[in-house]
Amino acid sequence: MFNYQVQQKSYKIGTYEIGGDPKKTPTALAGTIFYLGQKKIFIDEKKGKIDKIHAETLIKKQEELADKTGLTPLLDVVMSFENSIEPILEFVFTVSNTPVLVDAPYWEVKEPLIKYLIETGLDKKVVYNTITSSSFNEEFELLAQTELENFVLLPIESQYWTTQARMDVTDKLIQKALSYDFKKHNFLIDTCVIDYTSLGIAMNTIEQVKNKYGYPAGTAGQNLADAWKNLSIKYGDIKKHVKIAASTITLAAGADFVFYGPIQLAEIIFPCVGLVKAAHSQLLFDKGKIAPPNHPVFKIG
Amino acid sequence: MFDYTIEQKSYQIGKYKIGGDPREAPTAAIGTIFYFKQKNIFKDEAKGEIFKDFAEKLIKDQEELADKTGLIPGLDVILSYDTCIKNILDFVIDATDVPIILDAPTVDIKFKALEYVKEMGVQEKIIYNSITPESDDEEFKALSESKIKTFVLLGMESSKWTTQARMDVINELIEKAKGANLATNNFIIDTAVLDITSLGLAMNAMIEVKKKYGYPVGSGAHNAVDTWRNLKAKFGNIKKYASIVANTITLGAGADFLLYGPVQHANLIYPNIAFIKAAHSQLLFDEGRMALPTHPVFKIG
Repeated sequence: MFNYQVQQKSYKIGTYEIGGDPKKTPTALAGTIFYLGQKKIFIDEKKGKIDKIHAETLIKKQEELADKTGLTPLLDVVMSFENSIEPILEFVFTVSNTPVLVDAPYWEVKEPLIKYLIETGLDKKVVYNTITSSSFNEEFELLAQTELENFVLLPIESQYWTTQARMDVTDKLIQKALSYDFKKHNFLIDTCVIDYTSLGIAMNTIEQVKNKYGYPAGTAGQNLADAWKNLSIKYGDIKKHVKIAASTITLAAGADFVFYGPIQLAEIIFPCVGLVKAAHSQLLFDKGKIAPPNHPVFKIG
Repeated sequence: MFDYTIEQKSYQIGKYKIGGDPREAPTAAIGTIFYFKQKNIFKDEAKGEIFKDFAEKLIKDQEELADKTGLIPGLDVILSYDTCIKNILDFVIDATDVPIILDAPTVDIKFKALEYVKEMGVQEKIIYNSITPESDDEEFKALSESKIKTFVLLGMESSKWTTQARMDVINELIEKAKGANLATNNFIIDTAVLDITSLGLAMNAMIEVKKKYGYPVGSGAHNAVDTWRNLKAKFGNIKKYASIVANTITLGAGADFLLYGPVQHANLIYPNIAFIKAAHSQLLFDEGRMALPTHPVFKIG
């Protein structure tokens, strides 16, 4: 497992690194916060007025779990409305050093978000989530004017449903992104899970991307739980278990990062990922090597 | 993923098949029953006097889940005393036609169980669990005489902790078993999970065994969680999640069977295995093929 023909890239983001050899590098776990309709966190969602104590508790809990497991924490910060951009980002950067992925759903919010990042200089610090196969040239051009270095690329393919088709879309998106004069071309490839069948393709694509380019790869396996029709009718109240298993199975394909869903799941997902990473670190012995002291294998027991 | 250069073996056990191409063949999910001190099931454990309604419900619940998911059910039947063999095997053989994994902690009990299987003439339903590096000539002779056809080989290695060392033990075990004049050399390789780090080696050994021999592979990966010291103290009450993760992650290495632990956990593990199998079945599209109508991908939605 995890034998690649090219060198695996890793990017320094704040005090953390993302990407590399899955046997050695701790996985980055991105908890989503301020997502549309998130309970208990908003006082006025459209204006980005939030319950700061509740939000900080969630963020600190994730940091504590990262510390206890040796995994890398990420905050996938969703800004659903233009007016929520400033208060939410001001808050997040006040309370935490965790790397932030800025995540806006539409161009109407993405555009003011990118402009805000330029104005405040936060573009030097954040990861842009995401450039997709549907992103217009306008988005690429605006991103090229920023100091952004790290970008999530989301290749969407929903016509042929084969690994090759997904790789073709991935190649195209990478080539297009490379053609723009970004400050750095630090790409993280989200191989795109929509439902349970796409999880198989996404896992195979994670392997192929790492084999071909060495870019950090991963995905949001847990999306499939929301898209699984009749899950609770057929099998009862097991959605949380499905989200966890759908996230962790991608580690078998070498995932460098996992969008594990709502940040409230941190207390379950961090130890579970820690377990798998500890297991896979043992494969370093095959090459006479050993994991570094801050690796999950030395933290979780 | 799941590209092998040799044909993958599968064995017919009663009306079920175990082993094959992980994209196509449903995984066997094997629950353990009558394990030492299992709650609510024994009237007199040493004599094998049991609450039949309770035991039958557990067995039927698992069968129902197998039917709802398209997975293969199996029962790992523990015989902790020689005095319980007759009662338990009579009951199980009568109650179900799923594959029965014959599992006893000592050689003496194993021998008596083998004799009884022979006397009953139910070899077709039985899988012997397990031949280990400690198995001696007497055990092989008893196995040869039993006319059982299917055997779990447990590749235990606990001195070097590398994939190669584990493969060396497995290779030796296979060669020894081949020379034992067994009724059929239908081997199922348990790549031996004892703790967290051995899970990584076990996964890598699964890939190697399937590549080299094509034998069905798997393990009792929940052992990694059972032996995780300080799990609860450090991370709280997440053992069930961690067990699901430890079990399902092995599907990423192509596991053909999972010894998933107590049969009571069937309601959680079956749907979680099934969605991953559904995901991996999508990779058949890469070769212009499609899963069979009975595959989990067509059952779980």
